[in-house]
Amino acid sequence: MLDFFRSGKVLKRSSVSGIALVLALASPAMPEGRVSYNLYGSPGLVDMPTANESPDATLTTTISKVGDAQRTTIGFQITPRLSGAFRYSGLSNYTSPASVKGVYYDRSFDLRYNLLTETASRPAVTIGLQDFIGTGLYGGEYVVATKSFAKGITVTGGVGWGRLGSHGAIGKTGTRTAELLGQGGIPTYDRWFRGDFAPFGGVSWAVNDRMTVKAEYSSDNYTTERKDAQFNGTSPWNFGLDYTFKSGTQLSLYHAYGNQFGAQVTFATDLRSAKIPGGLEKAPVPVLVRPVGAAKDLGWTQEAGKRDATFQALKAGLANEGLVLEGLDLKAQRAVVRIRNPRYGNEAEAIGRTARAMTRAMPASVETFVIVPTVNGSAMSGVELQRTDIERLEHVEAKAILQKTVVRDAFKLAPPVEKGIYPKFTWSLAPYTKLSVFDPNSPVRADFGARLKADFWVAPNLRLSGSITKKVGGNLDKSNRNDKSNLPRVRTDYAKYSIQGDPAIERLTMSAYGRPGPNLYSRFTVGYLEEMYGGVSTELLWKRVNSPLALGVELNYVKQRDFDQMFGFRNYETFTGHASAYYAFGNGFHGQVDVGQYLAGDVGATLSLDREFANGWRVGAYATFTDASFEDFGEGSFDKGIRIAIPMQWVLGTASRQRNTVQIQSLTRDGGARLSVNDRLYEQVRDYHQPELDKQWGKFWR
Amino acid sequence: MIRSFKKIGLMSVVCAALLAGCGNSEDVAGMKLFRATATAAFKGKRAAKQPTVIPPQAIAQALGATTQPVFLVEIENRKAQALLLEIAKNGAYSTFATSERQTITFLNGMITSTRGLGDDLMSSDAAKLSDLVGSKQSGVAPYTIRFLNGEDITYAYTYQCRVTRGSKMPVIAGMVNTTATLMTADCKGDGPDLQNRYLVGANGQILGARQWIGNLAGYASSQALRL
Repeated sequence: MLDFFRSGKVLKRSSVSGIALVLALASPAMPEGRVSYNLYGSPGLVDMPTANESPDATLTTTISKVGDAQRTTIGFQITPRLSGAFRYSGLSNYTSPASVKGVYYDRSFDLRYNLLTETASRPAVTIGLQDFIGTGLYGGEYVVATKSFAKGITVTGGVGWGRLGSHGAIGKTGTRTAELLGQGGIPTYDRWFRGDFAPFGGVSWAVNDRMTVKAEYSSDNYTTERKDAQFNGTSPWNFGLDYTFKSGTQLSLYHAYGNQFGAQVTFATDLRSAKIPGGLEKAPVPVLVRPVGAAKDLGWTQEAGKRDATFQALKAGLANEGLVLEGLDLKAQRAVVRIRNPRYGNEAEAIGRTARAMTRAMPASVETFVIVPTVNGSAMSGVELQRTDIERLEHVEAKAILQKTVVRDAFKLAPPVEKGIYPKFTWSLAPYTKLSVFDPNSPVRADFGARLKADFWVAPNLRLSGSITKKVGGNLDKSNRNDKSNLPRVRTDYAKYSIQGDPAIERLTMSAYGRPGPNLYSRFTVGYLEEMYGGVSTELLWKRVNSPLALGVELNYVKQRDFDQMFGFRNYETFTGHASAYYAFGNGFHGQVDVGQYLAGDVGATLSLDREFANGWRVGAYATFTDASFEDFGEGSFDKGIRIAIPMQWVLGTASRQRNTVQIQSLTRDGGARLSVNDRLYEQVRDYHQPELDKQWGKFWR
Repeated sequence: MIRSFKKIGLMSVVCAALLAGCGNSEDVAGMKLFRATATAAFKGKRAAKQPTVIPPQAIAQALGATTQPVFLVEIENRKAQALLLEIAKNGAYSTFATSERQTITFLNGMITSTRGLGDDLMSSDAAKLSDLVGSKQSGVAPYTIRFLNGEDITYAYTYQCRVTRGSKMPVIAGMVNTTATLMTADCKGDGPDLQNRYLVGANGQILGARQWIGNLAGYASSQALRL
């Protein structure tokens, strides 16, 4: 009868993993000061940078075009002073053997560091490396200062090297090499701040809250574009007009280099903000406080069937919250419950809702609640709460109950699974998209179709699982790249898999999960593990519930699958495995080191660093160094990439455990390639451990 | 088993036709999102923006259907009203719920938390303010309200509230028919400046209020229809 109290705004939603789209549709208003972004997607004027920084944790996507150059940039403010960017550019009318239909595609990375923040008496100063990895088409370094004055006027001046020192040079520091290190893809440290340097600068004027006009003097001569493309700029003076929407989206129009026109759009999102903070999920059931003295009544312990009745009551109560009760160990003063949480991305919220439901189902004498969340039948932790605390602290700060909560190892703690729940069969049929972004030859390739998935749970921790895809359309198979490789072709035949694998058996596996000992977690998977490999995969993880450190070992013996992705195999088989260390630094940063042997038999290590947010966002980068020589590895020299995980709860504004990860690999090569097996342990385990639970505790009472 | 396969087959056709995705799995990738998109597209903006006003008949009906306390609450900037019935008591706190499973908790008639409204008021340290307002005395009281930020981390606004006593006025709503004193709390602190108003009955119970409950919802008006 009552359909109100809904947020007045309709949530805009999107089913596309494209970050730009998600940001464009779901980004909340940017609360902090306005930063203007340039054609490179960096804080800047038109083509030149400024010393401003985005607010911490801002993710930006910029799509720009000026003359023949189209640039798409994803930028992230890694810390308040450090920012990074990845750019994919397409240069039209470019004469190069690497051009595809006259378009030369190039990828580049930037890093910027804010040396000095602006004060009343001094400007902000930033040092930046542009296109510092790779072929260096956009390679340039700069030191830039920006100062704002009254009436919205901001003045910028800087000195640039490389590309940014190619017009109007006033001096020279050493010589700048043009030779490539390795096979490209290596930091071009031998060029930084070398060669000619030239001044650049400009002025911007914020006409009002929304509009800014900009003028700059560019020190970029577009030398390469003059030589190999049709750039014929006649002036170093560029002019621009920004319009910034309330959401933070910036639209700009430019007149550049005397005869070029440009336009850009930038979406900026602070990952620590949300359209609906705290989510729109339904209210939890309130705590039911016991009458005074009721706790002393132990009469129920003599009642036949009381335990089963309690189980059924709690099962219904948890189902009401989208949670699943699978086991109950009920004693006079203590109850241990075994639950599954398919709904809440915030695990503390799942624990909080379980605790409240327990106050309504448990006999009054039960004082200690132990909640054991399980994933794939394995107990992840035991969260112990006192019922008196739950009753007493329901309406105070969430911190208070955290101080009374004990999280312990759940080894041998989980009650057995209730009869009748397993075996269990689940299935789904849903559309899928497979996206390949920023391929060296094409900005976006995608396939879409239908995916049929089925899981048969023989026991809570033993699962047969399969998924089949049928393509409906797309152009992933149009990739005509046939990369040369001096290594076994463990990944570079991806186009053949896409062409021939229709329909395809994506996965068909049997997996078993377990708790072999205190602080230990295990996984055993056998079958068609991923689209290119089948075999056996085993994993063992050690993690204390309250520790930021985890150690793991994964051993796999795999055989390469036929391109048609049916049951057959090719004649490449190998051992691959890693020892891993994971560490949560506690300031939102999370690191991982994997050392071992990769699919092509090369030996080495992968280093990863992610910044993670309690609302589920993750932004990170990784690099893999192996004994495969740069020559054997080929273009790019070594494997590296960035990844962005978008939490569906943030996009939808309501509880969800799903997360879409967009991985941007520099190039798909055969060196440093890892098996892509499902359900690696660490991600499952840490969700229910401290410090992760603590960080999310604000939603305990949500 | 055969029948269930047939059923799956049939449903698959339906699912594919709808391009929506289906199944009995709890965590189907993309399904939720797809449905949400479709719903949003079909519903459009207008549907959600319809103001909702509770007609007097509905109020009478609700009061007749229960003997529990009932509140009428309006979120001003959404122009949406709801009837709330008491569903739980914990010490001095009473929790009321709408039929849409949103809840509001009151301390002596003062809202101390909300759930399910979006940008919920997570908790309040309101005992001193509530006591002062209930005593119908002018004075100063501390007041803290807590929310989750976009990252789901708790933040608090801490205020000092200057409470002033205003005039007496009749309060007639639902089963309530009495005279109340208007108490105004002007609060300054970490958050936006607030002016909350409370109508306090003879026994110190807050019968009606207009108070700020968060950045998204703004001010909410509450009115006891039965205590």
